[in-house]
Amino acid sequence: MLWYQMDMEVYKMKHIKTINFSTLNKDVKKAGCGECQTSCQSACKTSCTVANQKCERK
Amino acid sequence: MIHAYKMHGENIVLDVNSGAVHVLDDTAYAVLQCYDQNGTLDQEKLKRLTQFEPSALDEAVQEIEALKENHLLFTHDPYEEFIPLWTKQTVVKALCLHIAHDCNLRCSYCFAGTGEYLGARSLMSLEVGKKAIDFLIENSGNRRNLEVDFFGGEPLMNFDVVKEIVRYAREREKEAQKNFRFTITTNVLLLDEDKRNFINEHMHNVVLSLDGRKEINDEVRRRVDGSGCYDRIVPLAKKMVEERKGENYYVRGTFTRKNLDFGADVLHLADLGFEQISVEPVVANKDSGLDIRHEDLDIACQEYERLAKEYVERRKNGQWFNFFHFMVDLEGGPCVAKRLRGCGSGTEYLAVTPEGDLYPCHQFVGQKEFLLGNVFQGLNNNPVRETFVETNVYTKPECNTCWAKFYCSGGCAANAWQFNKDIKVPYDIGCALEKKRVECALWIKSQEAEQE
Repeated sequence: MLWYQMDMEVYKMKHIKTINFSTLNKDVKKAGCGECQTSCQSACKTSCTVANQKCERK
Repeated sequence: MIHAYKMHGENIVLDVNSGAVHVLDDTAYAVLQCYDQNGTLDQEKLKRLTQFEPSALDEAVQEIEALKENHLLFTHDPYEEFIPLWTKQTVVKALCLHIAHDCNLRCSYCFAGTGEYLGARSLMSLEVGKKAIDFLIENSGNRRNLEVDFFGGEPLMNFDVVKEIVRYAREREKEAQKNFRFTITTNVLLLDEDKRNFINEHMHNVVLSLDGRKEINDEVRRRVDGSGCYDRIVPLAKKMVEERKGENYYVRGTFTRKNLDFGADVLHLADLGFEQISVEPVVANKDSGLDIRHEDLDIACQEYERLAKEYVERRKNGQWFNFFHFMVDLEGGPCVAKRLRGCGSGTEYLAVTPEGDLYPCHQFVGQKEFLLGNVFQGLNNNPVRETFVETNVYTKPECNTCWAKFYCSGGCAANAWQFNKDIKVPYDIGCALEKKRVECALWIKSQEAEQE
């Protein structure tokens, strides 16, 4: 039985469920265009939260 | 590097370098504890897991090994060779314009004093505003998207200048091949129909300040005569949101150690009908009585966890709202280059005072050692700017070894300076709260994944 498959949405494993695959290290060579929003301008103004920002290319 | 934690009965592991997130059953979670941070299994520790069936332990080990083989667990850092490319001197792309160093509120936690920062009360002239737009265009290189936030003090106290600056920037953006995005941060008090219409037509985002429950808000957000502002603000903010069709806004509050049950304030804002909510911890002086202290952290973290649970319930049951600090875009979020450097203060993001002076961000304004120039004369080669350029999660020891580095991006430089007098040493209370918010955000993802 194929119990592990890269292309599937959810791994068919008994003990572990993957809810997000590798995403940070995709397109590393294209990273850093700088067109995205400055994070502190969006809603905080006193703290730094970046992971919720959007990429302008996506 | 991995980060494994438990929340509300769920076992979650984040693979830091890839961004992969997994939910484990108790067997797999126990087995994972037998691995070191390099992904090496300690067989002796594994043998001590006698409470589990040997066959289940074998399965769990196989599954963890499969994740490793597929670069979803214990992945190495592939970014190091790119760091020089991502951290070189950059262009300026965002300005925070201090339209008014004056305010019609006297909020007791404000880092700007009573609106005047460390200087005198003043309003930005149109001349300075136009020059700031010119400065931004001239210093933005090939960057197309430029941002201008109208900030204060209270920017509505000088709104005619705001309007004229917007008109001027719109005039210039075509020939300069730029795309300006305007935002405004306001306490709402002066938000009449004329201003709302202008903001709705021209501003990409609006931040409306309101702390939550009336008694909480009015305790700290007082008018000059000492009265509270909640009753005036709530209907105006609602009107604004309605007129913006519920889009591109945040109701933003601050919590202090006086309301460590701030989840109730977030939910109160949601009950008022606001769907885009940001409530974040105060950064106040140690002697203010409002600052979050180490002894408050357990309570504040528990409150985030409680809020996360209620958040999932409400979103599931037709009472959807968005909490800024629980948002995490796992699939389409920013690139790692962005995550290394965070807000870009002092490099791509600068603040402009009413006199046209440039500072690394709004929170540094008035601290003369951080004066970076003036919109009339340009940048002044203050060597402190170099410190901002070279600061990223890899050059800060605390961040380099932290599992949350790609989610918080190293924290706020102004907070680091305020508490540690070193922008490379993060503010530890801010770190603890940020890490808890990221844990909550990932747990929320795990719950919403289950519902799908």
